[in-house]
Amino acid sequence: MNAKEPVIGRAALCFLICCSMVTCIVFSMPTFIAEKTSRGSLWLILGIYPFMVLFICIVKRVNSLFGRLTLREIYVSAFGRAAGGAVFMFFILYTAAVSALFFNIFTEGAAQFFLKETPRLVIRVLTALVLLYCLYRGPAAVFRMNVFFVLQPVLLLLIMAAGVNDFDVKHLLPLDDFGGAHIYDSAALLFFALSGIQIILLLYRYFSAETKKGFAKLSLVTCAAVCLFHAAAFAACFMTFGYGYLIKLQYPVMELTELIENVFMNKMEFFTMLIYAFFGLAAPLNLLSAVSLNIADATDGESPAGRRLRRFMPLLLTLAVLGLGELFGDTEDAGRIMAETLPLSLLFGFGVPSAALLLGRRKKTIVRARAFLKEGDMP
Amino acid sequence: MLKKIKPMRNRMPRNKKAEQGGLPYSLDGKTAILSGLAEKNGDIVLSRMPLGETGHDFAVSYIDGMTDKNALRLSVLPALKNYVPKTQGMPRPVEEAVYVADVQPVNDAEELMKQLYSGRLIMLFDGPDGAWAAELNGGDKRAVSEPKNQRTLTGPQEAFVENLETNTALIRRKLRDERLVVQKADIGGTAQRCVIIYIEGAADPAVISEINRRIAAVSADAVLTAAMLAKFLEDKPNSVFPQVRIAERADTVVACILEGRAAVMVDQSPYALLLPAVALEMFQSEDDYSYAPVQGSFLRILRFIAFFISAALPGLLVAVICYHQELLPIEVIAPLKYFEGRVPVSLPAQAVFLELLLQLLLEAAVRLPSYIGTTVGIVGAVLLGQALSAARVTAAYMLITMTLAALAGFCIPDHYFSVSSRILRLIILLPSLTFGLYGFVLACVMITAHICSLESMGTAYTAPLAPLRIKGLKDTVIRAPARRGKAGRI
Repeated sequence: MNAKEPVIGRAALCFLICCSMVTCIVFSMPTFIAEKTSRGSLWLILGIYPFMVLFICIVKRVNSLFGRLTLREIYVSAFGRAAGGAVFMFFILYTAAVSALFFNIFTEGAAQFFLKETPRLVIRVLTALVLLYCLYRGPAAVFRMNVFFVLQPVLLLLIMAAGVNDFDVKHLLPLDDFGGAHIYDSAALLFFALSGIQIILLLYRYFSAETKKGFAKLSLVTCAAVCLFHAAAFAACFMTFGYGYLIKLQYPVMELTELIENVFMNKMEFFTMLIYAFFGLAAPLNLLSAVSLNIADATDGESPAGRRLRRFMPLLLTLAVLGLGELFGDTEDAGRIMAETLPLSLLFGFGVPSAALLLGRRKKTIVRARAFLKEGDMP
Repeated sequence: MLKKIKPMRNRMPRNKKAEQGGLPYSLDGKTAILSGLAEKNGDIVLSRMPLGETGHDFAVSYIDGMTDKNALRLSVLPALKNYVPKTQGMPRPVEEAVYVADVQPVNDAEELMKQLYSGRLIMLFDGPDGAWAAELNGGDKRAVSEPKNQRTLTGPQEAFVENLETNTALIRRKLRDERLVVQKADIGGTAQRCVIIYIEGAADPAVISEINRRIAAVSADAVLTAAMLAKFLEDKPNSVFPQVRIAERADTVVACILEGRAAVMVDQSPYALLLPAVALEMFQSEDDYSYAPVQGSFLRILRFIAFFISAALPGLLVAVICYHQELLPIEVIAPLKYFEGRVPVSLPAQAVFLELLLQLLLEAAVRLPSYIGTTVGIVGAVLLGQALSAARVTAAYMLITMTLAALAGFCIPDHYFSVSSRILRLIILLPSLTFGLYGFVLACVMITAHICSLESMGTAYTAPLAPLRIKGLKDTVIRAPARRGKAGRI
């Protein structure tokens, strides 16, 4: 690790997880999941927490086993040069694709809320330019920005809480009623929406010693907070609109804040729009910064080609996000893609790290056994 | 403090040093270097006199007005003129006769010039090691007076002056601590002097060595002010935000030194540079500590709001009125629209016009003498504003917003940060005019990214907020009570 690489502290880790997992999807999430599983979505959101716990445990074990290796080095030492390199590349591509999807959803929302008559491409290019500028400021700057981004979900929660007069708890009852048999679709969507958590796998190497020490506890608490936030957003929308009306709304959180009456400013929608725009870019920024750091680690920074790649990395990543975004289409397509990529999320989230852990352990055991035998042979 | 000149050692054969690029052996050779300068410049004095009864001569050279002539006439010259070569039968080196402060040997012609132009007294003798430079500062000095730019209501009314020694003495007087270090340094290739002031053990040694390195690497012909040196000490000098804090008050400098920062003071400049600097401290004033914690905290929060108003309010207003009228209640938007309808000029044009007018007024008020500057303020604020509104060139609410933004900018204690807020206003205004609230937010995100990427001597500019350090936040936004809120080290 060189002097210019970021060092992620304890607070920064919490903000990083929070800002990568709470994306602008939260504005449309209640409708997406309620459509399939009705009130049961609440349990589904909370039910995803054990998976997060499992993922955090795997990340912790993998990094404890492999020490200070980069993610590519971990995969190469576990699966071999060719297979490890390929898995690493696929993972990087997958993360870039997730960023592109988040970016797409964000610009789609921006087109709906802010600039209804502006062509989508103009909005995407404009947003991509801002993304590029932020990426050029460096990963350390991006990770510092999370402190300012993380305030937005908190404010959003407060704004939603202000609509308590319109809440009707009866809409949520009975709690054990699962409206449909499409739990898989909703779960897939939830998995994808929360897939920003993979950032901890990419950035573990950059955590400070203190952060690594308290990693499990901090991550678990933050993930619990994120799950509760999503559950609260869902419950607030469900209690306000009820199932019948909720599934007709594309951005229920925004609609909810429009209803809130306030003495100071009777349209809370104004603040919600600002919040939407502020934290919408956080997840793609964090994920792309993590990707750029990992690619930089995997390349030789001393060689001219490596230096060139590092210099143009923000531009390449921005172009990749724009290009992939064009392929993914609008929000409805994004929802479909999210549902279809659950196996991929599970593979990169649990399958590959678990395999690396098992293979790494086995290799380590073999190395130890060989060393033992060698010592035993000695007179 | 007086220092005895060291006796001559390692005498070298004649002309050996001159051959090596050093000074000539003879006094004639040495004076020849300066005589050309003295002939060309009326203020450079070079005089030659007999050295006691030795049969040799000596020469002194100085710049008129920069040297204390009284000390020269009463202390240095008599000692050399009445020089006795032997004391109690023992040979006595000529330099031992002179007692002056901070005497340094001069080894080559380039250094000789540099010392002369630094305002030091040059003494030349025959032989090797026969050139010395002594600190004999003199001339007219401005007395310590009230601060002009960083005023406080209840704090001490002492500001720095142009004399470096007076300034360091001001700090010493306020901070009687044996750990206080006042380290001298020469600025790059210039003849300008500066000092680095810090508390040993409190300041980060890496920061001090980095400051030294950057000062030594200055490549300008001359560094006339502290603000000029600041540009060489900043990590990103082209940034909108100042990464070095500039103070004209001794108590501000002392407070910062106690927090572990370093101060750099340039000779002939009445300002100190404080490093590392963070954004949050630009909102702090020494006055905060004169008030009760609640009052101090209130004033600080007010300054943060003022910064937001100054930088973002015009952009936000334009974005909402031009693109998102539905976000405002009808009671608010109706009168605004009524006024807008009466003005033929479009809102974006009004905003840009008023912003430019405001910047012009501010610039004019700064450049003019204070008595005319006040008139410009009155003409600008009252007459021009009223005339613009009456002539329906701008809507009254737009005028109010821009005036409010300008006033809010003046609430920020740091002048350079206040100028930053003026530039940010334009940076935010333009995308807001083009893309409404979305442009406003994107501009804010870019500014956030920029400010987060800044560092001052290795310290994040956004510290202790990002990266977050709860302990460091104790005395930043909220002014903590004195017994608990020990100023946080950055």
